[in-house]
Amino acid sequence: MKKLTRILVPVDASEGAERAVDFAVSLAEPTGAVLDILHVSYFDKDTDAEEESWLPEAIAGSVGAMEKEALERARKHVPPSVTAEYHRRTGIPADEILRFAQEEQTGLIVVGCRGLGFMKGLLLGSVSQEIVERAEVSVAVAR
Amino acid sequence: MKNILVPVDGSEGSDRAVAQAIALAEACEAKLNFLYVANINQLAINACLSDAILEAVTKAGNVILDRAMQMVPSDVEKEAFSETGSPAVVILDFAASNDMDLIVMGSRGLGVVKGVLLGSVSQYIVEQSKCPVLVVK
Repeated sequence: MKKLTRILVPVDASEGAERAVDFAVSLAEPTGAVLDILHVSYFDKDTDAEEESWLPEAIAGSVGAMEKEALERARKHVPPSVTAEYHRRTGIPADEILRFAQEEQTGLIVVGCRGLGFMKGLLLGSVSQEIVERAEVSVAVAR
Repeated sequence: MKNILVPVDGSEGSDRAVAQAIALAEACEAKLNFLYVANINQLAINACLSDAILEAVTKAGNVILDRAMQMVPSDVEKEAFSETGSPAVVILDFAASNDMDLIVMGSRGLGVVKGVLLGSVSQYIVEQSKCPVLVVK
Protein backbone atom coordinates (compact mmCIF):
# COMPACT_ATOMS: atom_id res chain seq x y z
CA MET A 1 0.00 0.00 0.00
CA LYS A 2 1.16 3.50 -0.79
CA LYS A 3 1.95 5.69 2.19
CA LEU A 4 -0.99 7.78 3.29
CA THR A 5 -0.11 11.36 2.39
CA ARG A 6 -3.42 13.08 1.62
CA ILE A 7 -6.81 12.42 3.16
CA LEU A 8 -9.88 14.00 1.59
CA VAL A 9 -12.74 14.89 3.94
CA PRO A 10 -15.89 16.22 2.26
CA VAL A 11 -17.91 18.28 4.74
CA ASP A 12 -21.23 19.95 5.13
CA ALA A 13 -22.36 21.69 8.29
CA SER A 14 -23.46 18.52 10.09
CA GLU A 15 -22.47 16.37 13.05
CA GLY A 16 -21.67 13.51 10.71
CA ALA A 17 -19.15 15.70 8.91
CA GLU A 18 -17.58 16.72 12.23
CA ARG A 19 -17.16 13.07 13.18
CA ALA A 20 -15.55 12.47 9.79
CA VAL A 21 -13.05 15.27 10.48
CA ASP A 22 -12.33 13.83 13.96
CA PHE A 23 -11.69 10.40 12.52
CA ALA A 24 -9.53 11.79 9.70
CA VAL A 25 -7.50 13.69 12.30
CA SER A 26 -6.95 10.44 14.23
CA LEU A 27 -5.46 8.95 11.04
CA ALA A 28 -3.51 12.06 10.04
CA GLU A 29 -1.80 12.47 13.41
CA PRO A 30 0.15 9.18 13.42
CA THR A 31 0.72 9.06 9.64
CA GLY A 32 1.58 12.74 9.05
CA ALA A 33 -0.96 12.92 6.22
CA VAL A 34 -2.36 16.28 5.11
CA LEU A 35 -6.14 16.80 5.25
CA ASP A 36 -7.99 18.22 2.26
CA ILE A 37 -11.27 19.50 3.62
CA LEU A 38 -13.75 20.09 0.82
CA HIS A 39 -17.17 21.67 0.66
CA VAL A 40 -19.29 21.34 -2.45
CA SER A 41 -22.19 23.71 -3.12
CA TYR A 42 -24.80 22.79 -5.69
CA PHE A 43 -24.57 26.27 -7.11
CA ASP A 44 -23.19 29.69 -6.30
CA LYS A 45 -23.82 33.25 -7.43
CA ASP A 46 -21.89 32.69 -10.67
CA THR A 47 -23.91 29.65 -11.73
CA ASP A 48 -25.42 30.33 -15.17
CA ALA A 49 -24.42 34.00 -14.86
CA GLU A 50 -23.17 35.44 -18.13
CA GLU A 51 -22.21 38.87 -16.97
CA GLU A 52 -24.19 39.50 -13.89
CA SER A 53 -25.50 37.06 -11.35
CA TRP A 54 -29.24 36.57 -11.73
CA LEU A 55 -29.55 34.65 -8.51
CA PRO A 56 -31.05 36.87 -5.84
CA GLU A 57 -28.75 37.63 -2.95
CA ALA A 58 -31.24 35.94 -0.63
CA ILE A 59 -30.41 32.60 -2.27
CA ALA A 60 -26.81 32.96 -3.43
CA GLY A 61 -25.88 34.64 -0.16
CA SER A 62 -27.25 31.82 1.96
CA VAL A 63 -25.32 29.23 -0.08
CA GLY A 64 -22.14 31.17 0.67
CA ALA A 65 -23.03 31.22 4.35
CA MET A 66 -23.59 27.45 4.39
CA GLU A 67 -20.23 26.89 2.80
CA LYS A 68 -18.55 29.18 5.30
CA GLU A 69 -20.27 27.47 8.22
CA ALA A 70 -19.30 23.99 6.99
CA LEU A 71 -15.64 24.89 6.64
CA GLU A 72 -15.59 26.80 9.93
CA ARG A 73 -17.12 23.88 11.83
CA ALA A 74 -14.55 21.54 10.29
CA ARG A 75 -11.69 23.89 11.13
CA LYS A 76 -12.59 23.79 14.83
CA HIS A 77 -11.98 20.03 14.84
CA VAL A 78 -8.48 20.20 13.39
CA PRO A 79 -5.75 20.52 16.03
CA PRO A 80 -2.62 22.60 15.29
CA SER A 81 -0.57 19.39 15.01
CA VAL A 82 -2.40 18.45 11.79
CA THR A 83 -1.99 20.27 8.48
CA ALA A 84 -5.27 20.94 6.68
CA GLU A 85 -6.11 22.71 3.45
CA TYR A 86 -9.61 24.01 2.78
CA HIS A 87 -11.27 23.82 -0.62
CA ARG A 88 -14.59 24.78 -2.15
CA ARG A 89 -16.20 23.60 -5.35
CA THR A 90 -19.53 23.96 -7.07
CA GLY A 91 -21.50 21.15 -8.65
CA ILE A 92 -23.05 17.76 -7.85
CA PRO A 93 -21.40 16.79 -4.53
CA ALA A 94 -20.53 13.13 -5.23
CA ASP A 95 -19.18 13.97 -8.71
CA GLU A 96 -17.08 16.88 -7.48
CA ILE A 97 -15.72 14.91 -4.51
CA LEU A 98 -14.64 12.01 -6.75
CA ARG A 99 -13.16 14.40 -9.31
CA PHE A 100 -11.21 16.17 -6.57
CA ALA A 101 -9.90 12.82 -5.29
CA GLN A 102 -8.65 11.96 -8.75
CA GLU A 103 -7.05 15.34 -9.44
CA GLU A 104 -5.35 15.67 -6.08
CA GLN A 105 -4.05 12.09 -5.78
CA THR A 106 -6.06 11.48 -2.65
CA GLY A 107 -5.04 8.30 -0.81
CA LEU A 108 -8.17 7.97 1.26
CA ILE A 109 -11.59 9.62 1.45
CA VAL A 110 -13.20 9.89 4.89
CA VAL A 111 -16.96 10.43 4.85
CA GLY A 112 -19.48 10.86 7.62
CA CYS A 113 -22.50 8.68 7.96
CA ARG A 114 -25.68 10.61 7.37
CA GLY A 115 -25.34 14.35 7.09
CA LEU A 116 -24.27 14.81 3.50
CA GLY A 117 -27.86 14.78 2.36
CA PHE A 118 -31.34 15.29 3.56
CA MET A 119 -32.67 11.75 3.58
CA LYS A 120 -32.42 11.20 7.31
CA GLY A 121 -34.01 7.79 7.01
CA LEU A 122 -30.98 6.26 5.36
CA LEU A 123 -28.27 5.00 7.68
CA LEU A 124 -25.66 6.13 5.25
CA GLY A 125 -26.25 9.42 3.46
CA SER A 126 -26.83 9.20 -0.26
CA VAL A 127 -23.61 11.07 -1.02
CA SER A 128 -21.54 8.86 1.29
CA GLN A 129 -23.13 5.75 -0.20
CA GLU A 130 -22.30 6.87 -3.71
CA ILE A 131 -18.71 7.65 -2.76
CA VAL A 132 -18.16 4.28 -1.07
CA GLU A 133 -19.39 2.58 -4.22
CA ARG A 134 -17.83 4.70 -6.95
CA ALA A 135 -14.49 5.82 -5.50
CA GLU A 136 -11.37 4.33 -7.00
CA VAL A 137 -9.49 4.97 -3.76
CA SER A 138 -10.22 3.58 -0.32
CA VAL A 139 -13.07 5.13 1.63
CA ALA A 140 -13.53 5.22 5.39
CA VAL A 141 -16.97 5.78 6.89
CA ALA A 142 -16.66 7.52 10.26
CA ARG A 143 -19.14 6.96 13.09
CA MET B 1 -6.87 3.57 17.72
CA LYS B 2 -5.98 0.38 19.60
CA ASN B 3 -7.76 -2.48 17.84
CA ILE B 4 -8.25 -2.99 14.13
CA LEU B 5 -10.52 -5.77 12.88
CA VAL B 6 -9.74 -7.25 9.48
CA PRO B 7 -12.26 -9.80 8.23
CA VAL B 8 -10.53 -12.11 5.72
CA ASP B 9 -11.91 -14.52 3.14
CA GLY B 10 -8.86 -15.17 0.97
CA SER B 11 -10.11 -13.00 -1.91
CA GLU B 12 -7.93 -10.47 -3.70
CA GLY B 13 -9.85 -7.63 -2.04
CA SER B 14 -9.24 -9.11 1.37
CA ASP B 15 -5.49 -9.30 0.65
CA ARG B 16 -5.46 -5.59 -0.18
CA ALA B 17 -7.36 -4.86 3.01
CA VAL B 18 -4.76 -6.81 5.01
CA ALA B 19 -1.95 -4.77 3.42
CA GLN B 20 -3.66 -1.47 4.19
CA ALA B 21 -4.54 -2.54 7.73
CA ILE B 22 -0.90 -3.46 8.37
CA ALA B 23 0.23 0.01 7.25
CA LEU B 24 -2.32 1.62 9.57
CA ALA B 25 -1.51 -0.63 12.51
CA GLU B 26 2.17 0.22 12.15
CA ALA B 27 1.48 3.97 12.10
CA CYS B 28 -1.03 3.86 14.96
CA GLU B 29 0.69 1.11 16.96
CA ALA B 30 -2.58 -0.77 16.99
CA LYS B 31 -3.26 -4.50 17.26
CA LEU B 32 -4.51 -6.40 14.20
CA ASN B 33 -7.35 -8.87 14.71
CA PHE B 34 -7.96 -11.15 11.73
CA LEU B 35 -11.34 -12.83 11.58
CA TYR B 36 -12.36 -15.65 9.28
CA VAL B 37 -16.05 -16.51 9.24
CA ALA B 38 -17.02 -19.89 7.82
CA ASN B 39 -20.40 -19.34 6.26
CA ILE B 40 -22.25 -22.25 7.82
CA ASN B 41 -25.38 -22.21 9.81
CA GLN B 42 -25.05 -23.67 13.32
CA LEU B 43 -28.21 -25.74 12.84
CA ALA B 44 -26.80 -27.27 9.70
CA ILE B 45 -23.68 -28.20 11.62
CA ASN B 46 -25.67 -30.00 14.27
CA ALA B 47 -28.07 -31.62 11.87
CA CYS B 48 -26.14 -33.01 8.99
CA LEU B 49 -22.61 -31.78 8.44
CA SER B 50 -20.13 -34.56 8.87
CA ASP B 51 -16.95 -34.08 10.83
CA ALA B 52 -14.96 -34.44 7.63
CA ILE B 53 -16.68 -31.45 6.03
CA LEU B 54 -16.32 -29.36 9.17
CA GLU B 55 -12.66 -30.22 9.34
CA ALA B 56 -12.14 -29.23 5.70
CA VAL B 57 -13.87 -25.88 6.25
CA THR B 58 -11.82 -25.19 9.36
CA LYS B 59 -8.64 -26.05 7.54
CA ALA B 60 -9.49 -23.69 4.66
CA GLY B 61 -10.09 -20.90 7.18
CA ASN B 62 -6.81 -21.57 8.93
CA VAL B 63 -4.88 -21.37 5.67
CA ILE B 64 -6.38 -17.94 4.97
CA LEU B 65 -5.72 -16.72 8.52
CA ASP B 66 -2.14 -18.02 8.47
CA ARG B 67 -1.45 -16.21 5.23
CA ALA B 68 -2.70 -12.92 6.70
CA MET B 69 -0.73 -13.43 9.90
CA GLN B 70 2.46 -14.10 7.94
CA MET B 71 2.16 -10.77 6.11
CA VAL B 72 2.39 -8.84 9.41
CA PRO B 73 5.83 -7.54 10.44
CA SER B 74 7.03 -8.88 13.79
CA ASP B 75 6.76 -5.54 15.60
CA VAL B 76 2.98 -5.38 15.09
CA GLU B 77 0.72 -7.18 17.55
CA LYS B 78 -1.69 -9.63 15.90
CA GLU B 79 -4.21 -12.36 16.60
CA ALA B 80 -6.36 -14.68 14.46
CA PHE B 81 -9.96 -15.66 15.14
CA SER B 82 -12.24 -18.16 13.45
CA GLU B 83 -16.02 -18.21 13.72
CA THR B 84 -18.98 -19.77 11.96
CA GLY B 85 -22.22 -18.14 10.90
CA SER B 86 -23.48 -15.45 8.59
CA PRO B 87 -20.35 -13.35 7.85
CA ALA B 88 -21.82 -9.84 8.07
CA VAL B 89 -23.63 -10.55 11.34
CA VAL B 90 -20.71 -12.37 12.94
CA ILE B 91 -18.26 -9.61 11.95
CA LEU B 92 -20.43 -6.89 13.52
CA ASP B 93 -21.00 -8.95 16.69
CA PHE B 94 -17.30 -9.55 16.98
CA ALA B 95 -16.49 -5.86 16.49
CA ALA B 96 -19.00 -4.80 19.13
CA SER B 97 -18.15 -7.39 21.77
CA ASN B 98 -14.38 -6.98 21.40
CA ASP B 99 -14.31 -3.17 21.34
CA MET B 100 -12.85 -2.81 17.86
CA ASP B 101 -11.97 0.78 16.89
CA LEU B 102 -11.97 0.22 13.13
CA ILE B 103 -12.99 -2.44 10.62
CA VAL B 104 -10.80 -2.65 7.50
CA MET B 105 -12.21 -4.70 4.64
CA GLY B 106 -12.24 -5.12 0.88
CA SER B 107 -15.04 -3.70 -1.24
CA ARG B 108 -15.91 -7.13 -2.65
CA GLY B 109 -15.14 -10.56 -1.34
CA LEU B 110 -15.79 -13.95 -2.86
CA GLY B 111 -19.32 -13.08 -3.94
CA VAL B 112 -20.37 -14.45 -7.33
CA VAL B 113 -21.79 -11.26 -8.81
CA LYS B 114 -18.86 -9.59 -10.56
CA GLY B 115 -20.72 -6.44 -11.59
CA VAL B 116 -21.53 -5.01 -8.20
CA LEU B 117 -19.27 -2.30 -6.87
CA LEU B 118 -19.76 -3.08 -3.22
CA GLY B 119 -20.28 -6.65 -2.04
CA SER B 120 -23.26 -7.52 0.13
CA VAL B 121 -21.17 -8.19 3.24
CA SER B 122 -19.27 -4.90 2.90
CA GLN B 123 -22.51 -3.04 2.17
CA TYR B 124 -24.18 -4.45 5.28
CA ILE B 125 -21.20 -3.63 7.48
CA VAL B 126 -20.78 -0.10 6.12
CA GLU B 127 -24.44 0.54 6.91
CA GLN B 128 -24.78 -1.16 10.27
CA SER B 129 -21.40 -0.87 11.97
CA LYS B 130 -21.12 1.10 15.21
CA CYS B 131 -17.40 1.73 14.65
CA PRO B 132 -15.72 3.33 11.61
CA VAL B 133 -15.29 1.14 8.52
CA LEU B 134 -12.51 1.47 5.97
CA VAL B 135 -13.40 0.01 2.57
CA VAL B 136 -10.18 -0.74 0.70
CA LYS B 137 -10.22 -0.44 -3.09
